[in-house]
Amino acid sequence: MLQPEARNPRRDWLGVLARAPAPVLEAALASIGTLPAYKRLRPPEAGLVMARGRIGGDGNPFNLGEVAVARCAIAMDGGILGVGYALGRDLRKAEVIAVLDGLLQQPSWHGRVASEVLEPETARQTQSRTERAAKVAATRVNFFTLVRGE
Amino acid sequence: MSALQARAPAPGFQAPVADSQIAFRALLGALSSPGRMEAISASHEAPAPIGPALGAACLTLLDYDTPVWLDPVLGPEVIAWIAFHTGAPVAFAPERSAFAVILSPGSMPPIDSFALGTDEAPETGTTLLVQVPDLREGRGLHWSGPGIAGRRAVGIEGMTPGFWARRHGMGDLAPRGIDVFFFAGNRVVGLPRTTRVEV
Repeated sequence: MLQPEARNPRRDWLGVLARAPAPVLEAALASIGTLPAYKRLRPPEAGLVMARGRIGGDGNPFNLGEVAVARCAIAMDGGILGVGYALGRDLRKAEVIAVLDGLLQQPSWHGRVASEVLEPETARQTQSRTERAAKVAATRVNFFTLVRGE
Repeated sequence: MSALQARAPAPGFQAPVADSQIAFRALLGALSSPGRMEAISASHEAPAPIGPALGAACLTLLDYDTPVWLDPVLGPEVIAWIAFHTGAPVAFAPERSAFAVILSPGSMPPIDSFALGTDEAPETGTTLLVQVPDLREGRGLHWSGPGIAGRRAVGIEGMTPGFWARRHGMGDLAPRGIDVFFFAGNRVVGLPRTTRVEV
Protein backbone atom coordinates (compact mmCIF):
# COMPACT_ATOMS: atom_id res chain seq x y z
CA MET A 1 0.00 0.00 0.00
CA LEU A 2 1.34 3.41 -0.90
CA GLN A 3 1.84 6.03 1.74
CA PRO A 4 -0.65 8.90 1.41
CA GLU A 5 2.03 11.46 0.47
CA ALA A 6 3.27 9.20 -2.33
CA ARG A 7 -0.15 8.93 -3.93
CA ASN A 8 -0.48 10.51 -7.30
CA PRO A 9 -3.96 11.03 -8.73
CA ARG A 10 -2.79 10.31 -12.26
CA ARG A 11 -1.33 7.01 -11.19
CA ASP A 12 -4.63 6.17 -9.52
CA TRP A 13 -6.79 6.96 -12.52
CA LEU A 14 -4.46 5.10 -14.88
CA GLY A 15 -4.84 2.07 -12.62
CA VAL A 16 -8.63 2.32 -12.58
CA LEU A 17 -8.75 2.72 -16.36
CA ALA A 18 -6.40 -0.22 -16.91
CA ARG A 19 -8.64 -2.49 -14.80
CA ALA A 20 -11.88 -1.25 -16.40
CA PRO A 21 -13.53 -3.48 -19.02
CA ALA A 22 -12.97 -2.26 -22.58
CA PRO A 23 -16.71 -1.87 -23.42
CA VAL A 24 -17.16 0.44 -20.40
CA LEU A 25 -14.33 2.69 -21.57
CA GLU A 26 -15.56 2.63 -25.15
CA ALA A 27 -19.07 3.61 -24.06
CA ALA A 28 -17.69 6.40 -21.90
CA LEU A 29 -15.67 7.77 -24.78
CA ALA A 30 -18.73 7.67 -27.03
CA SER A 31 -20.83 9.52 -24.45
CA ILE A 32 -18.29 12.34 -24.30
CA GLY A 33 -19.09 13.16 -27.89
CA THR A 34 -16.71 15.27 -29.91
CA LEU A 35 -13.15 14.66 -28.81
CA PRO A 36 -10.31 17.13 -29.23
CA ALA A 37 -7.88 16.21 -32.00
CA TYR A 38 -4.86 14.18 -31.01
CA LYS A 39 -1.76 12.67 -32.63
CA ARG A 40 -0.39 9.21 -32.04
CA LEU A 41 3.12 9.52 -30.62
CA ARG A 42 3.44 5.79 -30.28
CA PRO A 43 0.73 3.89 -32.13
CA PRO A 44 -0.95 1.16 -30.05
CA GLU A 45 1.26 -1.91 -29.79
CA ALA A 46 1.34 -5.12 -27.78
CA GLY A 47 4.42 -6.46 -26.07
CA LEU A 48 5.61 -8.52 -23.15
CA VAL A 49 6.63 -7.28 -19.74
CA MET A 50 8.14 -9.28 -16.92
CA ALA A 51 5.74 -9.45 -14.00
CA ARG A 52 7.46 -9.62 -10.65
CA GLY A 53 6.07 -10.82 -7.38
CA ARG A 54 6.86 -11.53 -3.77
CA ILE A 55 5.62 -14.63 -2.01
CA GLY A 56 3.14 -13.65 0.67
CA GLY A 57 3.66 -9.99 -0.17
CA ASP A 58 7.12 -9.86 1.35
CA GLY A 59 10.50 -11.46 0.80
CA ASN A 60 12.66 -10.93 -2.25
CA PRO A 61 10.94 -10.15 -5.56
CA PHE A 62 11.21 -12.85 -8.19
CA ASN A 63 10.27 -12.99 -11.87
CA LEU A 64 6.82 -14.51 -12.02
CA GLY A 65 6.60 -14.66 -15.81
CA GLU A 66 5.94 -12.54 -18.85
CA VAL A 67 2.52 -11.03 -19.43
CA ALA A 68 1.12 -9.39 -22.54
CA VAL A 69 0.63 -5.64 -22.26
CA ALA A 70 -0.84 -3.21 -24.79
CA ARG A 71 0.34 0.38 -24.72
CA CYS A 72 -0.20 3.62 -26.59
CA ALA A 73 0.90 7.25 -26.29
CA ILE A 74 -0.88 10.24 -27.77
CA ALA A 75 -0.34 13.99 -27.81
CA MET A 76 -3.14 16.52 -27.46
CA ASP A 77 -3.15 20.23 -28.14
CA GLY A 78 -0.83 22.10 -25.84
CA GLY A 79 1.66 19.24 -25.80
CA ILE A 80 -0.24 17.13 -23.29
CA LEU A 81 0.96 13.54 -23.22
CA GLY A 82 -1.62 10.82 -22.68
CA VAL A 83 -0.49 7.27 -22.08
CA GLY A 84 -2.43 4.03 -21.89
CA TYR A 85 -1.21 0.67 -20.59
CA ALA A 86 -3.44 -2.35 -20.08
CA LEU A 87 -2.93 -6.05 -19.52
CA GLY A 88 -3.70 -8.11 -22.60
CA ARG A 89 -3.50 -7.38 -26.29
CA ASP A 90 -6.49 -5.09 -26.71
CA LEU A 91 -4.86 -2.30 -28.73
CA ARG A 92 -8.01 -0.25 -28.94
CA LYS A 93 -8.36 -0.29 -25.16
CA ALA A 94 -4.83 1.07 -24.75
CA GLU A 95 -5.62 3.92 -27.13
CA VAL A 96 -8.91 4.75 -25.36
CA ILE A 97 -7.07 4.87 -22.02
CA ALA A 98 -4.44 7.17 -23.52
CA VAL A 99 -7.14 9.54 -24.79
CA LEU A 100 -8.95 9.53 -21.43
CA ASP A 101 -5.63 10.16 -19.66
CA GLY A 102 -5.01 13.12 -21.95
CA LEU A 103 -8.46 14.52 -21.17
CA LEU A 104 -8.17 13.98 -17.43
CA GLN A 105 -5.04 16.15 -17.36
CA GLN A 106 -6.93 19.13 -18.75
CA PRO A 107 -8.91 21.19 -16.25
CA SER A 108 -11.60 21.88 -18.87
CA TRP A 109 -12.26 18.14 -19.31
CA HIS A 110 -11.24 16.67 -15.99
CA GLY A 111 -14.56 17.16 -14.16
CA ARG A 112 -16.65 15.64 -16.90
CA VAL A 113 -14.47 12.60 -17.53
CA ALA A 114 -14.04 12.04 -13.80
CA SER A 115 -17.78 12.05 -13.13
CA GLU A 116 -18.74 10.01 -16.20
CA VAL A 117 -16.02 7.37 -16.17
CA LEU A 118 -13.66 7.50 -13.27
CA GLU A 119 -16.01 7.75 -10.31
CA PRO A 120 -18.54 5.06 -11.37
CA GLU A 121 -15.75 2.73 -12.40
CA THR A 122 -13.79 3.29 -9.18
CA ALA A 123 -16.97 2.53 -7.20
CA ARG A 124 -17.64 -0.61 -9.22
CA GLN A 125 -14.10 -1.88 -8.77
CA THR A 126 -14.13 -1.17 -5.05
CA GLN A 127 -17.46 -2.97 -4.70
CA SER A 128 -16.34 -6.03 -6.63
CA ARG A 129 -13.15 -6.19 -4.57
CA THR A 130 -15.18 -5.97 -1.34
CA GLU A 131 -17.58 -8.66 -2.51
CA ARG A 132 -14.76 -10.95 -3.47
CA ALA A 133 -13.03 -10.35 -0.16
CA ALA A 134 -16.28 -11.17 1.65
CA LYS A 135 -16.71 -14.42 -0.32
CA VAL A 136 -13.17 -15.42 0.41
CA ALA A 137 -13.52 -14.48 4.07
CA ALA A 138 -16.63 -16.73 4.36
CA THR A 139 -14.57 -19.77 3.48
CA ARG A 140 -11.89 -19.07 6.06
CA VAL A 141 -11.03 -22.01 8.24
CA ASN A 142 -9.51 -21.50 11.65
CA PHE A 143 -7.31 -24.25 12.91
CA PHE A 144 -6.70 -24.72 16.56
CA THR A 145 -5.21 -27.42 18.67
CA LEU A 146 -6.98 -28.90 21.66
CA VAL A 147 -4.89 -28.99 24.69
CA ARG A 148 -4.51 -32.57 25.70
CA GLY A 149 -4.08 -32.78 29.40
CA GLU A 150 -3.80 -35.48 31.93
CA MET B 1 -3.69 20.28 -12.25
CA SER B 2 -0.71 21.65 -14.13
CA ALA B 3 1.70 19.66 -11.99
CA LEU B 4 0.06 16.52 -13.35
CA GLN B 5 0.41 17.40 -16.99
CA ALA B 6 2.98 15.43 -18.91
CA ARG B 7 4.80 17.08 -21.82
CA ALA B 8 4.53 15.24 -25.10
CA PRO B 9 7.52 14.76 -27.42
CA ALA B 10 7.05 14.70 -31.20
CA PRO B 11 5.57 11.56 -32.79
CA GLY B 12 7.77 8.58 -33.71
CA PHE B 13 7.21 6.01 -36.45
CA GLN B 14 3.54 5.75 -37.36
CA ALA B 15 3.92 2.12 -38.49
CA PRO B 16 6.81 1.01 -36.27
CA VAL B 17 7.35 -2.43 -37.77
CA ALA B 18 7.20 -1.50 -41.47
CA ASP B 19 8.96 1.85 -41.03
CA SER B 20 11.88 0.42 -39.08
CA GLN B 21 12.24 -2.41 -41.62
CA ILE B 22 12.29 0.10 -44.49
CA ALA B 23 14.91 2.20 -42.71
CA PHE B 24 17.00 -0.82 -41.72
CA ARG B 25 17.03 -2.11 -45.30
CA ALA B 26 18.24 1.27 -46.55
CA LEU B 27 20.97 1.44 -43.89
CA LEU B 28 22.07 -2.09 -44.72
CA GLY B 29 22.21 -1.21 -48.41
CA ALA B 30 24.18 1.94 -47.68
CA LEU B 31 26.78 0.11 -45.62
CA SER B 32 27.16 -2.79 -48.05
CA SER B 33 27.65 -0.50 -51.01
CA PRO B 34 29.79 2.30 -49.57
CA GLY B 35 29.26 5.69 -51.14
CA ARG B 36 26.04 4.75 -52.93
CA MET B 37 23.15 6.92 -51.93
CA GLU B 38 20.04 5.34 -50.44
CA ALA B 39 16.77 7.08 -49.67
CA ILE B 40 14.81 6.47 -46.48
CA SER B 41 11.11 7.14 -46.67
CA ALA B 42 9.61 6.53 -43.25
CA SER B 43 6.99 8.52 -41.42
CA HIS B 44 7.92 10.33 -38.22
CA GLU B 45 8.16 13.91 -37.02
CA ALA B 46 11.63 14.26 -35.56
CA PRO B 47 12.19 17.70 -34.02
CA ALA B 48 14.62 20.06 -35.79
CA PRO B 49 17.49 19.88 -36.52
CA ILE B 50 17.12 16.09 -36.93
CA GLY B 51 16.31 15.37 -40.58
CA PRO B 52 14.04 12.60 -41.89
CA ALA B 53 16.79 10.07 -42.61
CA LEU B 54 18.75 10.64 -39.40
CA GLY B 55 15.52 10.52 -37.39
CA ALA B 56 14.52 7.22 -38.99
CA ALA B 57 17.98 5.80 -38.31
CA CYS B 58 17.75 6.82 -34.63
CA LEU B 59 14.33 5.18 -34.22
CA THR B 60 15.55 2.04 -36.01
CA LEU B 61 18.97 1.49 -34.48
CA LEU B 62 18.77 2.83 -30.92
CA ASP B 63 17.27 0.95 -28.02
CA TYR B 64 17.76 0.55 -24.28
CA ASP B 65 20.84 -1.60 -24.94
CA THR B 66 22.77 1.00 -26.93
CA PRO B 67 24.35 3.93 -25.09
CA VAL B 68 24.21 6.93 -27.39
CA TRP B 69 26.55 9.92 -27.45
CA LEU B 70 24.64 13.08 -28.35
CA ASP B 71 26.09 16.14 -30.00
CA PRO B 72 26.11 19.02 -27.46
CA VAL B 73 24.24 21.18 -29.99
CA LEU B 74 21.13 19.02 -29.50
CA GLY B 75 18.45 20.67 -27.39
CA PRO B 76 16.16 19.17 -24.74
CA GLU B 77 13.39 18.60 -27.28
CA VAL B 78 15.57 16.26 -29.35
CA ILE B 79 16.96 14.52 -26.29
CA ALA B 80 13.43 13.95 -24.96
CA TRP B 81 12.31 12.61 -28.35
CA ILE B 82 15.17 10.10 -28.52
CA ALA B 83 14.68 9.06 -24.90
CA PHE B 84 10.91 8.61 -25.27
CA HIS B 85 10.95 6.62 -28.49
CA THR B 86 14.12 4.56 -28.10
CA GLY B 87 14.86 4.37 -24.37
CA ALA B 88 18.57 4.56 -25.21
CA PRO B 89 20.76 5.65 -22.29
CA VAL B 90 22.94 8.71 -22.88
CA ALA B 91 26.69 8.03 -23.01
CA PHE B 92 28.72 10.96 -21.75
CA ALA B 93 32.05 9.54 -22.89
CA PRO B 94 32.43 8.93 -26.65
CA GLU B 95 34.42 5.73 -26.03
CA ARG B 96 31.50 4.26 -24.05
CA SER B 97 28.93 4.75 -26.79
CA ALA B 98 27.39 2.27 -29.23
CA PHE B 99 26.07 5.07 -31.43
CA ALA B 100 26.85 8.76 -31.74
CA VAL B 101 24.44 11.35 -33.16
CA ILE B 102 26.46 14.20 -34.67
CA LEU B 103 25.04 17.35 -36.23
CA SER B 104 28.04 19.66 -36.11
CA PRO B 105 30.76 17.59 -37.80
CA GLY B 106 33.10 20.60 -37.71
CA SER B 107 33.37 20.39 -33.93
CA MET B 108 32.87 16.66 -33.33
CA PRO B 109 35.32 14.75 -31.13
CA PRO B 110 38.15 13.05 -33.09
CA ILE B 111 36.91 9.89 -34.79
CA ASP B 112 39.40 7.72 -32.90
CA SER B 113 38.06 8.91 -29.54
CA PHE B 114 34.97 6.75 -30.07
CA ALA B 115 34.90 3.04 -29.26
CA LEU B 116 36.92 0.99 -31.74
CA GLY B 117 35.65 -2.39 -30.60
CA THR B 118 37.96 -5.21 -29.63
CA ASP B 119 39.50 -8.06 -31.60
CA GLU B 120 37.10 -10.46 -29.86
CA ALA B 121 34.04 -8.21 -30.30
CA PRO B 122 34.67 -5.83 -33.20
CA GLU B 123 30.96 -5.06 -33.42
CA THR B 124 31.18 -3.07 -30.18
CA GLY B 125 32.79 -0.16 -32.03
CA THR B 126 30.77 3.05 -32.13
CA THR B 127 28.63 3.64 -35.21
CA LEU B 128 28.58 7.34 -36.05
CA LEU B 129 25.36 8.89 -37.35
CA VAL B 130 26.44 12.18 -38.89
CA GLN B 131 24.08 14.68 -40.45
CA VAL B 132 25.73 16.92 -43.05
CA PRO B 133 24.42 19.74 -45.26
CA ASP B 134 24.64 17.76 -48.50
CA LEU B 135 25.74 14.48 -50.12
CA ARG B 136 26.95 14.19 -53.71
CA GLU B 137 27.74 11.23 -55.91
CA GLY B 138 30.37 11.47 -58.61
CA ARG B 139 32.38 14.33 -57.14
CA GLY B 140 34.60 14.43 -54.09
CA LEU B 141 37.09 12.11 -52.45
CA HIS B 142 37.78 8.71 -53.96
CA TRP B 143 36.56 5.72 -52.00
CA SER B 144 37.62 2.12 -52.63
CA GLY B 145 37.44 -1.23 -50.91
CA PRO B 146 34.91 -4.04 -50.38
CA GLY B 147 31.54 -3.26 -51.95
CA ILE B 148 32.99 -0.82 -54.48
CA ALA B 149 33.95 -1.87 -58.00
CA GLY B 150 37.15 0.08 -58.60
CA ARG B 151 36.80 3.54 -57.14
CA ARG B 152 33.85 5.78 -56.40
CA ALA B 153 33.88 9.55 -55.96
CA VAL B 154 31.76 10.64 -53.03
CA GLY B 155 31.20 14.18 -51.81
CA ILE B 156 30.33 14.59 -48.14
CA GLU B 157 29.79 18.27 -47.55
CA GLY B 158 30.64 19.63 -44.13
CA MET B 159 33.30 17.07 -43.17
CA THR B 160 36.60 18.73 -42.38
CA PRO B 161 39.92 17.66 -43.95
CA GLY B 162 40.96 16.91 -40.39
CA PHE B 163 38.26 14.22 -40.14
CA TRP B 164 39.52 12.39 -43.23
CA ALA B 165 43.15 12.74 -42.18
CA ARG B 166 42.36 11.41 -38.73
CA ARG B 167 40.40 8.48 -40.14
CA HIS B 168 43.24 7.73 -42.55
CA GLY B 169 45.73 8.01 -39.70
CA MET B 170 43.95 5.29 -37.72
CA GLY B 171 45.48 2.84 -40.19
CA ASP B 172 44.35 -0.74 -40.60
CA LEU B 173 42.79 -1.83 -37.31
CA ALA B 174 40.87 -4.76 -38.81
CA PRO B 175 38.67 -6.23 -37.51
CA ARG B 176 38.28 -3.21 -35.21
CA GLY B 177 37.16 0.17 -36.49
CA ILE B 178 34.35 2.66 -36.77
CA ASP B 179 31.44 2.62 -39.21
CA VAL B 180 29.87 5.91 -40.25
CA PHE B 181 26.55 6.88 -41.80
CA PHE B 182 26.19 10.30 -43.39
CA PHE B 183 22.68 11.74 -43.67
CA ALA B 184 21.28 14.71 -45.57
CA GLY B 185 17.54 15.22 -45.87
CA ASN B 186 16.08 11.80 -46.61
CA ARG B 187 19.31 10.37 -48.07
CA VAL B 188 22.03 8.29 -46.49
CA VAL B 189 25.53 7.16 -47.46
CA GLY B 190 27.46 4.48 -45.58
CA LEU B 191 31.17 4.50 -44.84
CA PRO B 192 32.14 1.17 -43.27
CA ARG B 193 35.45 0.64 -41.52
CA THR B 194 36.77 -1.35 -44.49
CA THR B 195 36.53 1.51 -47.00
CA ARG B 196 39.74 3.35 -47.91
CA VAL B 197 39.37 7.05 -48.59
CA GLU B 198 42.12 8.81 -50.52
CA VAL B 199 43.07 12.00 -48.74
